[in-house]
Amino acid sequence: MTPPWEAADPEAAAREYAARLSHGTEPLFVLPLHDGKFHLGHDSVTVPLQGFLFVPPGSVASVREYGDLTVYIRRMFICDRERDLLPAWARFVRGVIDCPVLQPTASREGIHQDESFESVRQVLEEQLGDGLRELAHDDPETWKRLVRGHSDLIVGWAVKDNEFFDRVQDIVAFRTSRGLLSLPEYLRVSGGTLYYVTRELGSLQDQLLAEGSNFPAIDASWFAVTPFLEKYAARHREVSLVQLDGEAETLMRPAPEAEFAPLLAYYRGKGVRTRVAAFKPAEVPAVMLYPHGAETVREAGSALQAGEVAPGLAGLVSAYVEGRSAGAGDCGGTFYLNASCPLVRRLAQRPPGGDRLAAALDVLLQNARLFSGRTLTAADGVQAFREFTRGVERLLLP
Amino acid sequence: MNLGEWLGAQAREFRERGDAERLRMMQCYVEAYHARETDPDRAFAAFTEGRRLAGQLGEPWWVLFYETERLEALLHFKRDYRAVLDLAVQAVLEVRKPANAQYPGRFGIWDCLVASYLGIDAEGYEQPIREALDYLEKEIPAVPDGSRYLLLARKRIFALERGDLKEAYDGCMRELDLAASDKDQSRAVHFATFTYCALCHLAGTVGDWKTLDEWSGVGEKLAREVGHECELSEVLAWQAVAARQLGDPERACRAFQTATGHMGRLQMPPKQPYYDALVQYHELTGDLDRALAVRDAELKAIADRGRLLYECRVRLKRCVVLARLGRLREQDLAAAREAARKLRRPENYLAQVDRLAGAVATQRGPARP
Repeated sequence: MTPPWEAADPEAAAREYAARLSHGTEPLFVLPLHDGKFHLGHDSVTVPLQGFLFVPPGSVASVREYGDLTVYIRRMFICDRERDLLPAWARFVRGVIDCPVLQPTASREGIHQDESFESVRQVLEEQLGDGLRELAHDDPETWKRLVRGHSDLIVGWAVKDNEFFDRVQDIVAFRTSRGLLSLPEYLRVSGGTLYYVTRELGSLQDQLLAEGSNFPAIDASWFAVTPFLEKYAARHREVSLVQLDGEAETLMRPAPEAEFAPLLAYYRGKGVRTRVAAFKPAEVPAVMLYPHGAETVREAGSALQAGEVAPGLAGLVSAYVEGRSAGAGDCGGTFYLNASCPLVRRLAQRPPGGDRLAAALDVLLQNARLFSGRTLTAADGVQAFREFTRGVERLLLP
Repeated sequence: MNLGEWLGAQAREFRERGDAERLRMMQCYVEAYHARETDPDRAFAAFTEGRRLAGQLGEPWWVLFYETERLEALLHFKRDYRAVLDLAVQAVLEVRKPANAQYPGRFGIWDCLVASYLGIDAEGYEQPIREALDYLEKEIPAVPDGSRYLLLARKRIFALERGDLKEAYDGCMRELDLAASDKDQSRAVHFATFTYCALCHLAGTVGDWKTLDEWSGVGEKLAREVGHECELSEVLAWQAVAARQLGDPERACRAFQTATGHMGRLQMPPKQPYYDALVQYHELTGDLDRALAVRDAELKAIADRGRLLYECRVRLKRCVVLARLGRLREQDLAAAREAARKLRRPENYLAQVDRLAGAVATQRGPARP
């Protein structure tokens, strides 16, 4: 049988071969191999090499690792699933090679890991690195499909491998509220800060606050994204990192309270923890922000009250609620009035005490509660809508 | 139907109807389990992938299954307790919902909640942990099953955390009785491996060297049979201590090197008894600097991982070694005090720090004017 690299059309034959190894699905990328130079400081030797590497489609669970080669020596099959010849970061790559400098073991079922092995390893790493760089430059669509197909694996390895990180740090695309963006593309929009949410998609409110500031939010719900962003920020001193979920206050600028004192007095009189801050979009009059984990605390408290937690476990769940409530200060949320919002500024200038003003302020509060969504039970939601509606009715009264 | 039976039935069903997507979702579990010792981060990622696929496929029980596995990966593979309470309580709340009332993995979820508090501050949460264990004792059938083994293990760990060695030993015996009556011998060997690790810990703590030698030999055989590398390293470390105590330094050295070599290849952090065994070994050879290096490594592995009681105890043990070396500094004591203050019941540990500080001050004599 003719090996693919000796076929009349080596690339087509290699694609066909790779597809057979991938259960009939076309590889995303095929890289033909050629003889390479192994550098010895002042000198170099040529390593004869034939074969190809390929990237399977990422249809299998994307954390699945490949990074294995089928190895021939002078057209004699030696072994498959050889996992030490490809660099550790290349776990999304597979391949077939024929290399006469490799030394088979006595049983001819494996390869000696000697100097020749190391030279082949280095040549493979160099050709793969060059091939991926060229692909990213010459065929960005295919590169994007490759990264998307294996992004979780690529990001995961990049966190662990500095050299691989350097290769992919500016190319990997992340899911953001504006679609897939590489970090340089993202930073051009955000002006030098990476804003991310660790919950899948983040809440609409988190995204709105980020978008309001003209920043898309990066979806960092996948385990390796946050450490990747941290590593990126650590290597680029000019880049800062802001987690949005539970810390959306970072998007707000402090504003003087005096100007809004009547509004603050009204809300605080109703027992609502209220602050004033300037944030975007200016069309948003107020938001309700909750500390991280507040939803679980709230649900746990309700479940305990309703006797829905298995009796023997109630003590531990109560301990959780107590611990969380003590640690976070208050899981009830903080109501932020937007000092940048023209409506809020106008309301603050009205004489205090009128019922129409009170009705407008109630509407703002309930609107913010409903929009945040978090920690509201169905009953809370009904009550918030009731108060919202009542406020609107009061506003409509002659 | 227990969890194992449900998983088996699901696998058969998916295979019979050629459901490649759901088989792929199940495959994440296999991949994660294989990676648990060598790369726990990847195991966690594979479980997360499984959950994601389960969500896409609209399989709520599989979402719950993988959510629990993620939690188990944090507790038992990564040994990182920072986020476990949120995840455990969320899972407990989820499984109470009517749609999940028949979910066969509920005991596993409850076990994770207990395991979380056991690993965070078993003394501080003694009462609610005891209530939970009593409840699970009534709920979980007393027949060989994964849930029963886990319950007995939690009870044994609870006893060890409270320093009740007799109760811990009795717990080990109950675990071995259960394994002896288990028709599924691969499951019995899996769980018995952990039991023998605990028995070694007990024998090493009370200084019964012949028994330690015997139990570590059994533990080694079981760990090799079932392929648990972390536990193999742990029992080999105890074997090194036993051989040293029994006057066989060459065998001790071999066991020590094999233990540390094996553990060095794993990314799963070792458990506390492994470090205790290494410290004992170095103390026997009179090498307190190496004993201190072990405590430093232990502290580095667990500090700021939410393991409040464990961290406090390690800081204290480290202070003891430093005091013996004459190198105990005020900042080490301050760090131990700070760790103790994070506990629900810090008094005993604060008193221990004060005693250490007092002893060191006495050794140094009165301060010079």
